[in-house]
Parts: sequence; C-alpha cells; structure tokens
Amino acid sequence: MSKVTRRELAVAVSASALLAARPAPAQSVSPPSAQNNELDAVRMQFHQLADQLDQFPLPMDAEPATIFKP
Amino acid sequence: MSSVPDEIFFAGISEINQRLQKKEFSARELARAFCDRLETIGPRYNALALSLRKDVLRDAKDVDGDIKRERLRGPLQGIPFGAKDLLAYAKYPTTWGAKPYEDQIFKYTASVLHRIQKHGGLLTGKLAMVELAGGPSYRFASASLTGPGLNPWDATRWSGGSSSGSAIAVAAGLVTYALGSETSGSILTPSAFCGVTGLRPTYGLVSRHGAMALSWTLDKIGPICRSAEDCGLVLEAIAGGDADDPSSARKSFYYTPQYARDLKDVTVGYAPVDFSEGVDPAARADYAKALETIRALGVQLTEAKMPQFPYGPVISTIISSEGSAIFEPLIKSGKVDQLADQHQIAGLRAGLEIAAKDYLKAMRIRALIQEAFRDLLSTTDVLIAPTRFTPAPKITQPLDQPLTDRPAPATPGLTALIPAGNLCGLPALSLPCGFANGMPMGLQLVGSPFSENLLLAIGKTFQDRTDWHKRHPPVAAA
Repeated sequence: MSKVTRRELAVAVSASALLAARPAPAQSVSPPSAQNNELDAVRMQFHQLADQLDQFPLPMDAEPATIFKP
Repeated sequence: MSSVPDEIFFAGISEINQRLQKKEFSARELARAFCDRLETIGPRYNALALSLRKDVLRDAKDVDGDIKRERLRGPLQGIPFGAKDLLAYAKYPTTWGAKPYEDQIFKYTASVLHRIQKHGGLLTGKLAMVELAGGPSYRFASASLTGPGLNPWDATRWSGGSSSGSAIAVAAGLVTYALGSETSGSILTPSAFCGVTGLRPTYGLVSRHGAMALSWTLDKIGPICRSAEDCGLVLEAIAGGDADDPSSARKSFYYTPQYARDLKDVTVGYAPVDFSEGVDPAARADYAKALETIRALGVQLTEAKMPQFPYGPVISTIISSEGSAIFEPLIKSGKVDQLADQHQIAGLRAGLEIAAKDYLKAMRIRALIQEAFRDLLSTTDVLIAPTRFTPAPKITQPLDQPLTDRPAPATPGLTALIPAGNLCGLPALSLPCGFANGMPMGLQLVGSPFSENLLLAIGKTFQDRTDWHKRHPPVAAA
C-alpha cells in the first residue's frame, strides 16, 4: 500500500471539506467549518515543522539553549 | 501660522535639539505641530493607535521651562517620539493591536518610556501594530485592530510589521523617532519597507518591562529612526539594567562614534549571491553600489557562508510554543476569536498542542546555532545582506506565501539572517540603501552581542556617503 504523505493528506482533507461546504452569506466572522479547516491546516504545518526538526541530526549531548544573555 | 518650519518634520534628533536650545521654536510649538501631523496624516496610513496630545503639551511646557533655566538633559530633550502600542503607558489604553485588548489599561508605564521621559523626550502618541506583534503567524496585512499598515511610499502596499505604525510614522515625518519591538523581523522589516533606519539591540540590552510578551526568549525593544546616529542616541537612553526585567543583561550602552574601531580593521562578511540572484532585479544596481560603498569605507570584505540549520522551523516552533503559552488565557476564554486574522487565531490554538519534545528539540538546535554563530563571528566582525529580498508587497498579498515567484538561488546565501540573528540574540541595523520600482530597500548589518557601536559606526559612515536615509515620501502636509 502506498504511503500517504502529510501534504497529500492536508490537500485531501481541505478538498473534501471544500466539497462539503455549503454556500453561506458573507459575514465578518468565519463559519466554524472554515475555522476548523484553518486549524487543521495550521496543525498540519506544525507537524511538518516537527518533521523538519526530526530530520536534523541532533547529537545526544546537545542541551537546550537556556542562557539567553549572550 | 506655525513657527515650526516644514523641514523639521524630517530632521534628525541633534538638529532639532540644537534649534530648540537656540529657541527658534519652543518645545510646546514643536509638540503641537507634530501632534497635528500625527492626528491628521497618521490615520490615513493606519499608523496611529492613540494621540497623547494633552499629556505631551503639558510635558513640553516643562521642557521649555528646563531649557529656559538651562537644565539640559541631552539630545532627546524636547524631541517628539512615538511608541508601539505594545508598551504600557499608565492610565491610557494599551491595545497590543488586538480587539480583545482594546480597553486594556495598565497602572504602570514601560521602563523604556520612563527612561526617555527622564531625558525630556516627548511621547506624542501610541503607534499601530500587527495584532499581538504577529503572534505565531498571520496571513494578511489587515491583521490589526487599526487595519493594515499602509506604506507612505505607496499606500497600496504594506508597511511591514509588526512595528508598522512606528516605521510609517518615522517615514512620513509624524514623529522624529519611534520605539518598536522585534521577535523575528518586526523592527528590521518595516524599517526596510518604509525606508528608515532600524536597530534591533542585543537580547537583554533594553528592558522589556511593561512590554507585551510574545516570546520570552526572543523579544527585544529597539528604535526606528531617520539615521544610524539617531538610533545610537535613542539606544543610549533606553539601554541599561532593569531589576523589573528578568531578561536584562544589566549592561549599559554609551553611543561613542568618536571611539569607533578603525574600519580598516573590520572584517565584513557577505554572500555574493544575495546581491545578484537573491535580491529583487529592480534593486540590484543599488545593492551593487551599496556594497561598493561599504568596500570603500576601508573594511575587509570577505565571502561568508551561513551555517546550515533549519532556522525557519526552529524559530517558528519556539515562537508558536511560547506565544500560545503566553496567550493561553485568551485562547481558552474564546476571545481569541475576536482577532482579525483567521490564520493567527488558528496558529494560537494549534500552538497549545505543540509537544514539549518538539519545543526542546528546537531549543537544542538553537544552542548549536548559537555556537556556530560564535565561531562565525570570531573571524568575521559583521555580516551584511539585504534586509528583505523583495520590496513591500501589496496589502492584499498573502504573507504566508513566498513574496516572489522568482526561483530561489542555487545557494541560500544569508537569506535566513533575520531568524538566525534573532535566535542568537544578535544586534542588527537596517539602513535604507536604494529602491525597487519606487519602493525602499534596506541593507542589514549583524554583529556579535553588544557590538552596537560597531554597527552604528559603519552605518553612520555609510550614511555620511549616501543620501538614501534623507529621502522621504511625498506626504502631504497636515
């Protein structure tokens, strides 16, 4: 079975949500479905960021930056 | 008729201060003239959050009394300035550019404002900003309580953010200088887009007491001015230890251009690709001249290579994690939905779900980045690159997409210098250095921690030989 990437999943989710969306009158606050789509898209972006961090070869002895006063 | 001549609206700090001392006009006349401009022109560009006319006219009267009695308090005495609306000013609204906080009033004043007022500075108004200083991210320039910051060079274009009102007000001659803040690019970007000079100080050099927090480990307060010299004068007033700010480096700053290092001993690193394929084609000729001007200062120009790290993912993870933790009460109350930008709302909500391991991973990589830059800056004193590689975008352009459809160069050059410099807490100076199709472009200089005097010395010498910083948009008089 072919593996679905996060990007493909995001496209599929947003495409199906678009198909399901009903036309709505213009309003200042986005409808809940649009807000949920936006939230899902941002979550997906954060997952992609985490994936990019995972790809960085981090040595075991690298400690977090905790001293910010240069 | 005002006794304040029009050229004063675009004059530097020292010139205005000298003319005040010569009594060519009073501080009260000056403050009134700037208030008129700020209140009339400021709203045209969505730059004004709050005029402080009543207070500033009272303060200006005191300054006139001091000057009369020869109680001179330094170059900032009597000079009108503005402050980004993320700085608390007692008894007046501090909105952080965001609807949920439009009625927020603090009982205290930010340390930086106290410091400038002790020097006789005249706070004429609070200046507009992107809501919550940009938060984790926003999609449109309209992400602000006051609407999109409109660029005085072309009002169909964005001013840049998040210190949008600060850069607009300086560029349009509504204040002589302004305070902004930077988590990642919020001083440098609007300075470049609006054609003014901006200084991001070393992390911890300027107190953040009384400033909205977006990221405890990244936030800095700094000046946006007409020149490098003015940035030095303002930094001297606002820098220094503060027991009320846990991040304070407890260091002072004295602007000493007279003791600047001989520039012949200074090594300046750059990536040639940034000045050719990297930057907007319409600005390449000006950048080539800027590079030649830097070379002609006598510095040793060398090629520099950016250490390879995932700068974007690291800084985004840190800002999103810290920002959402800071605004957790807003998010959980549901009032986050009052923000103007849907992407911002979603970013704040989703930021609460970032795993601790991912935040720590970003901070572990950050430690390696800091180490790599310590090594790089042990052999190169200053790094230079275009501040932004494209001019200000149209206000309707989505900001979470690339601002250009030009293909990226084969090598990245120093394109990630803004996130890298912020992750390392390094100081940076953005200087106007040319135009692309009528829109200003900037050159950024980045140095080691607490090397502000060196950056300012290079900036001042550059500005002694160029006039980009003296140009201003054809803004109609008030």
